[in-house]
Amino acid sequence: MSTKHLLFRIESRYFAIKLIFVKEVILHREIEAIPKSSPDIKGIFNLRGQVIPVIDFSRILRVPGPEAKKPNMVVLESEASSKDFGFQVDEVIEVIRIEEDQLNHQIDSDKNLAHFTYAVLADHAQHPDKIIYVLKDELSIGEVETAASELEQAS
Amino acid sequence: MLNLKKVIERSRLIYIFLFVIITAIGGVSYYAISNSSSLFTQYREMAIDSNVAKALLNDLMFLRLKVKNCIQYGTEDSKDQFYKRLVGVNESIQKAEAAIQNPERSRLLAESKDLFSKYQDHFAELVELTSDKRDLIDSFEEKHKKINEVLRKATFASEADKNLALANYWQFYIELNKKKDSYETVGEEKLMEFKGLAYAASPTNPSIRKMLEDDYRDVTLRLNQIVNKNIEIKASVEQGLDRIGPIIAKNLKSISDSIQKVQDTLGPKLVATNETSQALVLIMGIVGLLFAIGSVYFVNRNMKTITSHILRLVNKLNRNTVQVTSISERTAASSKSVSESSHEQAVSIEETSSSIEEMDGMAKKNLESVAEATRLTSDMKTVAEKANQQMSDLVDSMSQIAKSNQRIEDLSSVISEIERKTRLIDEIVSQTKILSFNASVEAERAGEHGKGFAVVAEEVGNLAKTSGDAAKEIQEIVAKSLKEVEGIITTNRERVEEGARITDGSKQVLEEIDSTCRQVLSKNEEVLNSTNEQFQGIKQINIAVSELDKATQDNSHVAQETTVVAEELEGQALDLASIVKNLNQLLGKDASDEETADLAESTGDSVQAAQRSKKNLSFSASPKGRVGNVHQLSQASSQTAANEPAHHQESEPQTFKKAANDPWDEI
Repeated sequence: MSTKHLLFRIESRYFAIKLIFVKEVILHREIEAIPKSSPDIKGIFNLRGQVIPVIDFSRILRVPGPEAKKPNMVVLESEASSKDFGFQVDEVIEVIRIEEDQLNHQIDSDKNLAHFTYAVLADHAQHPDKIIYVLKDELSIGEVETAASELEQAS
Repeated sequence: MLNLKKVIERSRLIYIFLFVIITAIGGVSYYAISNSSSLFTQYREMAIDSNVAKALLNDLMFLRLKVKNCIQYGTEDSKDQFYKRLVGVNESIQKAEAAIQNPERSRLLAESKDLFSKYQDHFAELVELTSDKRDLIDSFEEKHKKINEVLRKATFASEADKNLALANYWQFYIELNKKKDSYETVGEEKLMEFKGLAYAASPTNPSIRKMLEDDYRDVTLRLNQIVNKNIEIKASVEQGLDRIGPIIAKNLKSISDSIQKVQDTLGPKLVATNETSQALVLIMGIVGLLFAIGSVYFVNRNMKTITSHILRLVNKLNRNTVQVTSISERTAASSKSVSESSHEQAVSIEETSSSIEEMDGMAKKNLESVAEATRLTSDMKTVAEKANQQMSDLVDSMSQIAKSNQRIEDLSSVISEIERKTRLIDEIVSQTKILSFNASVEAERAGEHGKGFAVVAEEVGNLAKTSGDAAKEIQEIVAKSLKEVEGIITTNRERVEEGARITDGSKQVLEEIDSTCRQVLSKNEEVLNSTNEQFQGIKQINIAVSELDKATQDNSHVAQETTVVAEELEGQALDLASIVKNLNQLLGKDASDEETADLAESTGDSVQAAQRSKKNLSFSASPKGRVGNVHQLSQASSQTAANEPAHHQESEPQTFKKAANDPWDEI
C-alpha cells in the first residue's frame, strides 16, 4: 500500500509529508511577526483573506533553518485544531509514493514540543542517495502552542 | 780636553767590583732558598705518606669487621661486603706504593701487601667452609622433615600413641639441634639415650620401626658432621685470619710511627732554613740599592761635561752639512734640467713635423667624407618619410579593429538580454511547478474522483521540470558565452591600446630621425669650413717651430751657472773634513784610525767628482750652429732611410751627453 507524499528540502535535509495533509503550496510570502508570541511561531500572513500562522518548523526539529532568500511555503490543513498553518521550506521537490512497509524505523519526537512521529527512509526508489525524514502523522499547531506554553511554565 | 777613554776605564773597574759582590751574595741566597725548598718538599712527601698509611690502617680495621660478620652470619651479602671492602684496600695499597719512597717503609708495605693476599686466600677458604656447613645443615633439616613425615603417616595402636611418638621424636630433634653450633660431637651412649626417647611409643609396623632406627642414626651422624665443620672453621680462623690480621696492623702502625718521627725532626729544621734565606735576600737588596744610587751619581757627574763638548761640535758639523747638501742639490737639478730640456725639444720638433703631415692628409680625407655623408643623409630622409606614411596606414587599421570590437560588445549585450529572458522562463517554470503540486493536492483531496486529474497534474509537473532543466542549461551556456565574449573584448581593447601606444612611439622616433638628418646636413657644412681653417693653421705651426730653436740657446746659459756652483761645493767639503778630525780627537782616537781614513777618502772623492762635473758641463756652453738646422726638421723626418746617416750627427739629441764621442767636443 503506497501513499502519496510531498517531498521538500530544508537546508540540506529532505522531508516528506502525506499529501492528504497538505492544503496548498505557495511561492514566497512576507511574514509578519506576532508580538509576544512563542519563539516557535514565526508570524502570520494573509492567504486570500485568511490569516495563516507560520511555525518555525526547523526550530521545533532543532535543525538548521531554510537558507533560500525567498523560501517557498507549505500550508497544512490541521484537522485536530481545525486550523490551517504554514512553514517555510527551501524547495518543494516533487510528489513521491512511499510504501508503508518501507518505514520501519519509527522515532517519536520530543514530547515537550510537538506530538508527531517520523521515520527515516534511506532507500527510496526515485531518490536512493538521500535520507528522507517521513512525518507519519499530521502536525498540529494547537499542540505546538500548548507545548511552547508548557515549556515556558517549566522554565 | 777631557779623555773619554780614561773615564770609561775607571768606571768599568768600579762596576766589576760591585758586580762580584752582588753575585757572591746572590749565590749564597740561592743555596739557602733551594735548601729550604728541598726540605719543604720532603716534609710534604712525609705528610702524604702518613695520610696514606693511616687510611690503609683504617681499611684493615673495617675488613676484619667484615670477616667477623661473615663468620657470624655466613650470608652471601656479608661475603660481598668483604670483597667490596677488599677492592678499596687494594686501591689504597696502590696509592701507598706510588706515594711511599722510603726503602724501609716500602719493605714494610710490600710485606703487608703479601699478607693481604694471604688474608684473602684464608678468607676464601673460610667462605668455602661456611658454605659446606650450610649444606650440611640443609641435609640435616631435610632428614628431620622426612622422619617427621614418616611418623605422621605411620599406623599406630592409637592416636595417643602417635602423638606420644611424635612428641618423643621432637624432643630428640630439639636436643640435636641445640648442638648445631657447638664443638662437641654426639657419642654412641648419647644416641642410645635419644633412641630410648624415640622408642617410648613406636608404630606397630616393625619395618617402619626398623627404618626409623636407621634414620635416627643417620640424622645423628649428620649433626656430628656439622660439629666437625665447626671445629674446622675455628681452626682455620685461628691459623689464618687471626694470625695475619694483627701482623698487618703492626706493620702499618710502624710505617705511620716512623713517618711521624721524621716529621718531628724535619719541621724545626725547615723553619730555621727559611729564616736564613729571608735574611740573605734582604742583604742583597740593600747592597743592590746602594750600588744603583752610586752609579747614578757617578755617571751623572762625568757625562755632563762630555755631552756639552760633543754637542758644540755636532752643531757646527750640522750647519756645514746643510750648506753642502743644498749646493749639491742645486747643481744636480741644473744639470738635469739642461739635459732633459734639450732632449725633449728635439723629440718635440720631430713629432710636430710628422703630425703636420698627418693633419694635411686628414684634412683631404675629411672633405671626401663630408661629401659622402651629405649624400647618405638625404637618402635617409627619404626613407624616414616613407616610414611615416606606413605608420599612418597602421593607425587607420587599428581604428578599424576598435570599431569591430564595439560590434562584439553589442553582441555581448544581446547575450545578456537572452540571460534575462531565461531567468524569466525559470521563474515561470517554478510557478508552474507549484501549480502542479497544488493540482496534485486538490486531486488527492478529491479522492477517487481526482485520480485522472492527478495524472494530469503529475504530467504538468514533469513538463515544468523538463522546462526548468532546459532553462538551467541555457543559463549556463549563456553565462559561459558572456564570459568568453567579455574576455575577447577586454583582450582586443588592450591590444588596440598597446598598438596605438607603439605606433605613437614609432612616429615620434621617425620624426626625431628626420630632425637629426637636418642637423647632420648643417653640421657637414660646418666641418667643411673648419677643414679650410685647418690649412691656415698648419702654415702658422711651421713658423712656430723656428722659434723653438731660440729656446735651445738659452740652455747654454744654465750650464755656465752650474760650473760656478760646483766650485763652491769643493770649498764646503774641505771644511767638513777638518770638523770630522776634531770630533775624532774628542773621542780619544788617532788621526790614523781606519774610519778617519775612510772619511777623508770619501771627502776627497766628492771633491774630484765635483771637478769632473765641472769639466763635463763646460762643453755644453758652446753648441752653436745647430740653430739653423732645426728649421729643416719637418722635412728631415719625412726623408728616406738612405739619407739618414748624413743628418744623424745633427738631428740625434741623445749624443748631446756623451762628451768623449761627441764630434762637438772636437770642434
